[in-house]
Amino acid sequence: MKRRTLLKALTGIGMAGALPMSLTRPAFGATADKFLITISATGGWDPTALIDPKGNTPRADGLGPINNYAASAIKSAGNLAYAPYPSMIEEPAIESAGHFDTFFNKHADRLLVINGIDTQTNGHDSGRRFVWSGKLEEGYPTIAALAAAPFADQPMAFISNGGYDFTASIVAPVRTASPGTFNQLAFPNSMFPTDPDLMHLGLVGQSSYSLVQQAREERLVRQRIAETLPKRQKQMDQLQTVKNSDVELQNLLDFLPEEVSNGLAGQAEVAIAAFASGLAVSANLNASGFDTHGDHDQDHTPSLTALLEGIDHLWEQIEMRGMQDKVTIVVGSDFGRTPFYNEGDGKDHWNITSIMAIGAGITGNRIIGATNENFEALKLNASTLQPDDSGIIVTPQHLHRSLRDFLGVQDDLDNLFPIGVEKLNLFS
Amino acid sequence: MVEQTIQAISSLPLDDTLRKASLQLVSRLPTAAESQQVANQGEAGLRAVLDGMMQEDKFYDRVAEIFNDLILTDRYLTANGQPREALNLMRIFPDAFWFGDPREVTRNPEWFQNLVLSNDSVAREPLQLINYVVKNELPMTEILTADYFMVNPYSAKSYGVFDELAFQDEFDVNEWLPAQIKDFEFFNNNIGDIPHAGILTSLMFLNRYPTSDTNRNRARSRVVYDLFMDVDILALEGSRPDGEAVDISSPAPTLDNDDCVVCHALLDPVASSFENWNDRGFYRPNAPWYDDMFQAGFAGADRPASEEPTSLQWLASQMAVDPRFNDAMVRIVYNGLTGAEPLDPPGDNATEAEWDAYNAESVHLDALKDSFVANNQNLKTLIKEIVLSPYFRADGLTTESFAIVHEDTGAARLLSPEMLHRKINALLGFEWRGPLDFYSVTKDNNSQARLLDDRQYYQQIYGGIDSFVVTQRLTEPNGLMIAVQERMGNELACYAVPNDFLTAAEQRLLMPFVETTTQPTSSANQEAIMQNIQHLHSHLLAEDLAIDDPELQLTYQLFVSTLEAGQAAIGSTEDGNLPFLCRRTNDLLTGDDLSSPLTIDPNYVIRAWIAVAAYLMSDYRFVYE
Repeated sequence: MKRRTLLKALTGIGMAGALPMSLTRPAFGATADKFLITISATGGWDPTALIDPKGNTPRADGLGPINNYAASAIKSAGNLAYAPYPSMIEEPAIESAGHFDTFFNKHADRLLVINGIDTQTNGHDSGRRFVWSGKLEEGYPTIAALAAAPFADQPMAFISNGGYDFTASIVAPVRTASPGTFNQLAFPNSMFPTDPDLMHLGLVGQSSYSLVQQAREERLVRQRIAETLPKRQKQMDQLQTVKNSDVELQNLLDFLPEEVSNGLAGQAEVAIAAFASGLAVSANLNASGFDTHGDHDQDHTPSLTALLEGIDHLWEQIEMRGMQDKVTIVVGSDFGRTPFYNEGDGKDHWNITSIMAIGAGITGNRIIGATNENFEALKLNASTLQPDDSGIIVTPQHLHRSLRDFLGVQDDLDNLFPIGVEKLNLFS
Repeated sequence: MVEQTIQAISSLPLDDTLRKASLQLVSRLPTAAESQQVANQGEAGLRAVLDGMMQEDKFYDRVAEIFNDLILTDRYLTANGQPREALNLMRIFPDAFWFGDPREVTRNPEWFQNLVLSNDSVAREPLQLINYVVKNELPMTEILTADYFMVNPYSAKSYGVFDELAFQDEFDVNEWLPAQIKDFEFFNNNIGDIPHAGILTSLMFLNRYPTSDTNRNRARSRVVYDLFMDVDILALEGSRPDGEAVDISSPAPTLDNDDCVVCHALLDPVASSFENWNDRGFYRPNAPWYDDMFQAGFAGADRPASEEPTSLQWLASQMAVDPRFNDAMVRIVYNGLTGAEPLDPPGDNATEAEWDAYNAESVHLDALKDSFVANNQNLKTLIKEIVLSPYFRADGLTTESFAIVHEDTGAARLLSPEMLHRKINALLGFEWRGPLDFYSVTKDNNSQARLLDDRQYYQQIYGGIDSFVVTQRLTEPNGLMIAVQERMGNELACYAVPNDFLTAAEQRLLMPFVETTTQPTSSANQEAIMQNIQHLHSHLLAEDLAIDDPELQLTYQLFVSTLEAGQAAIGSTEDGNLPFLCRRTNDLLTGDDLSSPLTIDPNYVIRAWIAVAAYLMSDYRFVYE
């Protein structure tokens, strides 16, 4: 009944150490020079409230308007259209990096928007899985894990802040939490790890801590030798392997801001610091507050503003480290939200969604794909990427086929988790 | 061969089994009386002790945790999201926000308290049903067949059923009663009585696994099969065709394309049985249903037309007599208690060892299942049988020749952050709390974060779940988790050792044989130190070693070398005081000032013990169980 282990042969020790050598060969060189960040607007965002705006024209079927703003109020920046703030919703200050006007005017030139993606589901778990792995069913790793797999021997190769982070054991996910914890963990015996003057003061006396550390290591070796239960032997081997790999968290701290931010901004700071310090190759970031079954405009709009603030902050971090040509960002969500309001002024789940991409290799100021006036996906010509009634509906499978080609995911890994759909040149 | 395979497992002694079960089920060490009962009566004594433990509140916390790892309805708890995730799903219930509509009221502290308590009470409803069934020793099938749902005073008000129930205390969130929704009206539309069918009709369950016009309840069906029938639809022969490869030559491929029918003949009758329950989990009788898919039914039987309004009750009654339900319960409880799924049937290319392992485990689990069934499908019976089984008690192999067969045998597991949190409390008498290092100087312990089971601190790093964004526990350590273990060991030692010395020797958990002045300067003192080390190995690691065991000698050497290094450093890098955060000036549990604080350590003895405790509390046997 061990049914969720697709790669039984790989799960023996649970990490890429069990992978055939060909799968651990770096994709881009001996050390990573391409990095991937995925941002999940978890809960199901509403593209019509942001990058696929519709307006408040009443629907022909009487279900009401899609949005609470006039179609004539829809805005544009370059070739991108974006939603205004709904009526009755207080806008953030225009200086806010997450204000829709501010964000799109600043980033439109580098933003790629893909609309009209059919996730074929409205379940959170399945939607998230499909959007981030390209497979509706269980078993495929998130794209961030595929990007990190060739560097699986790095202790933090794939940083996960939640969301779909199944890795199929091709790389170990490292989950992070509040930024304040990094100092605690980088200096695990320090009483005051954030104070340079007092950092040296230990919980266990400094004069004896090295003895404790040595005793810990030696005991684990003795335990492993004496153990006769294979399962425990395996666990002790894992423990030894991880303990012996240097997690140079101190290096990470060198690249972190003195005060790490909260929320998405903080996740962004940690990810970029980990990239810059050579500890990580990919990260999934997570923003919440989008599952707005009640009071949609009231609750969803600030979540979108916070999301854009976080993306902007991420970009600032990337620029500060001079990594604009190395880091690609993909922003998506479980699915979309209904093109009408429910009895509680909320919006329920809807299978059509959008994604945004920005960063290394992405040509911005473009929209690919479209939806009709009822927020249903339109077919796309596979060659021209223009609406075409005889074309195809774009699904996350197409996204991932294209994204894998764009990122240069190795053939071995690609074949291990095949996606058999036509290739669209969505990312370039 | 089956017998030989099982006999190759060397089992934990009963007293160690008792400790292991006690920590897991009720988050405490066994009492002396319980240990004595097991020593006197053997397995019968252990069963009796477990019976007692399974009446404690902590046990039901653990049961809920085990089931939530699969059902994931705790996704709606305030701790895992926003404080009204569950209440937002109740919009057809006019009293959902009985304490004040969030769009209209002034949000004062009382309003927030009612918001959180009501939301979390609604969110916990399906897990409380499971607990109710277990507590009352009802057949587990009642989690599907119950014609009621569970409410406490807060959720009863939200559902509008408070006045119909006889609660003892209007403000007791722990008082749960069965309830029914009768004669329900929605916008002047009389819906009638809600036909409750246990978890299947739970608002939380139905929202956790929603549906759509295209999905047609198939996701719900898949989850129902997985959780309650032990059938993984996705693992069946046949697969969903990719993209344009869908066969559109027939009008309804799920009915007439053989590749599709393989799964849909199973999936769709159960999906259709949900026909009266809409995407948001509301009962909508007589709603139109699709005729281009298999109609409601189960296991080859069609649902009678007369049962249409109570379709899920009919489905539950069918599932309740299906033997696969018992397989599902065995799988859930086995997984919960051992941390491992039962083995899959080996594939075509399986080795002999894989078959041996599978056959032995299958025979054994079948026997456990038989006991469960024979005892009225009482979950407590199943738990006792698993605890007593060699798979829970596996401690080694009697012969290396079975190493491959038993490569996955045993209940050894990396403790989840929540389990580790509870174990710390059980062994030390206090929790590992925050904010971070300032635990010892705050007097407001109640408001401080619990580091291992709070998402803001280490719960996520250490592999915990929030039932929504993160639904899979990490079962293998990574670099950050090792750092958490190291910091945990150091911090806890720093707090626990001086704290222990504050009480009389006979009441101490860690230091009953020594004092703060006991140095290895005499044979009596050396003997006392060795005894204390022996006690620490036993208390913290469940490692009962003879006094002359080499392991104890090595720990003794660590104590002595630490002491000598520390004493030599006094006056240079060390002084005669305890490290600032290790000083005890207030009570760890109450924050009250101590009349006799412990802040100094002139001979470095306390710090040497802190080093020993830190060594032990990051040990494999501490962080694994």
